[in-house]
Amino acid sequence: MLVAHKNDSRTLVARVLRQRYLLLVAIPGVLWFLLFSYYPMWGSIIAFKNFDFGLGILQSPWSGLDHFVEFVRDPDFATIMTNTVAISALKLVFGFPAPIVLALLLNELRSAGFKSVTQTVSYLPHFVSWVIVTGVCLQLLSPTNGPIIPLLAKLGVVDPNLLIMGDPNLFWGLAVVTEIWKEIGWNAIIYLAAITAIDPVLYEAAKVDGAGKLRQVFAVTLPSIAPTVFIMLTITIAYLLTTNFDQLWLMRNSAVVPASEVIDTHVFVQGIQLGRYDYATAVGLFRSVVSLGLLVAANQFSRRITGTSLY
Amino acid sequence: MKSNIKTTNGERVFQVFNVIFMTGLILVTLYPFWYVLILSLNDGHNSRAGGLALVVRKFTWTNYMVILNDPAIVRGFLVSVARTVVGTSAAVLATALFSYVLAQKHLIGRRLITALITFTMFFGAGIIPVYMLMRDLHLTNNFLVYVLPALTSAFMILITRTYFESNIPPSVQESAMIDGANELQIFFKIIFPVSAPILATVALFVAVGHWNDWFAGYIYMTKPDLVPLQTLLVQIINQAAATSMMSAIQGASGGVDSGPTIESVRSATMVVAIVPIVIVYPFLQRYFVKGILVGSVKE
Repeated sequence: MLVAHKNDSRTLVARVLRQRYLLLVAIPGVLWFLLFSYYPMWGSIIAFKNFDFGLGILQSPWSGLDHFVEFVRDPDFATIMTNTVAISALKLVFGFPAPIVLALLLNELRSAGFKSVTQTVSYLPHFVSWVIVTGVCLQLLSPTNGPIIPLLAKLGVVDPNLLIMGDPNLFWGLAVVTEIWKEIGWNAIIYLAAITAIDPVLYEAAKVDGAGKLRQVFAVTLPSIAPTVFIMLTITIAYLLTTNFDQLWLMRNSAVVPASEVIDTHVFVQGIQLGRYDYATAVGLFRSVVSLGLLVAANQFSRRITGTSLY
Repeated sequence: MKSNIKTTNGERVFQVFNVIFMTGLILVTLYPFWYVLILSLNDGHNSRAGGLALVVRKFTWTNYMVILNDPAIVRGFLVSVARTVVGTSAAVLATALFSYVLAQKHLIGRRLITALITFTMFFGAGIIPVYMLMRDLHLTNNFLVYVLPALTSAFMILITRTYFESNIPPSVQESAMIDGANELQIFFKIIFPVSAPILATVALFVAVGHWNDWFAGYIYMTKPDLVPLQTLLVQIINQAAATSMMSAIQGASGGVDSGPTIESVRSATMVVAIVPIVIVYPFLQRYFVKGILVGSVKE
């Protein structure tokens, strides 16, 4: 009898009963993820359908790969892909090393007080929105009453009528510079933490071997933070097609559209503004699938090079 | 024993340049904020004349008075405050509860649920299907569109769960269970009160997210009554300022060469949107470093 009773208590029903309070929380939590994350993933199937409001997602007729083909054949396709990849690549080339350099330089500051002041100031812009950054740029870069252009014009460096925010040739640069300005301090945090974790014995050993400061950076610091660098690089590469929508959407205006139309803005215009849900979803899905592929590839690469990986 | 290698000249030069560089970085970071502040405190028409760079030239509170008299901006500010307070409280509670439950090793389906959550960090559906969902749920023109989708996230759950797992000894819970308390009572009476560091981290992240979000107001609100301050700012930046603001600007005008302008009022609005961030900044920076570092710890 006693044995049978013990077996009973091991059944699922008994476990559920015993965990009823936990499940009271876990079930709504799981339902939340199913509704807000997984249902939209399922809803992405309209990328393969000709979506009809009256018929709904399930009843709308299939369209196969029509929307994907339309995107690839779009006369703007080349421009969109060029802008997307170029802006991301420029951010990768200039924006990725910047916080690493900042972290290395911060680490060399002798005064702990000055170091902490610099650091505290450097990540402040991370916490203001792109709306504010855009508004600030508009004021700051105004050729008529901003403080910068008239000064540079007086020095003969730039044309006094230079409208940085309205010049398609300068848009990529503006996107990269403002992104670095906003995120350099924030992104340096993780590298500084990695540098702080390096065993001082390694530096002592390098000094004994006659290594100067610069040599120590290359022989000790950089190899020690390499795993962190590769993890961050993996994430950055995975997001190569995901441009910063907030930044690009807010900073652009009709004058710079040719330089600023990227996948994300194309999805927004087609889907939200023109109501072409099926087509826009297809474009978005194309982006997500390529991103997932990039993530897997970058992760594989990182694992092979440094033995560290995201998952 | 101190290092016996002398400081070389090259190193001394480097130190000097490093300090100069960092000072430059501080100035480049802070100056844009300073410039907007002086614009907001300077007479609008006076600023338009150009040359304003370092200090206020013709001091005035008029730009702020225009904002105070603009019902759209006052309402936008209140909407922002409301969604930040309600959204953050709800998110902290939901995240903490769910993370605590997931930290229980014996939870049925724990691994499956964790996998379900983690996957959402790597793959998202994109904005269109999410937009369609919100419409189907009748969340457009509804305050809940700010709160419900932002209740939690995979990242917040993972850092909170890691905190619970590494900071709360199982013995605390076991002894409470023996005293007859159930898991939820333990959570509210014992765990919640002692988890201030992680709860503050989550709260600050979520609060800043709510305060800074312009997108939800931009796409889900077709009526003006629930538009938050950041979305209003987008409209002001796009020159589509509310007519109430234009008339307030004209009403406060002091003739042809003085009074507020759209730029000066825009600057004042930006200052109003930045100030709350600056106020919580000391708290933010105390907690967030810990937050992102906990988040980077793998299981």
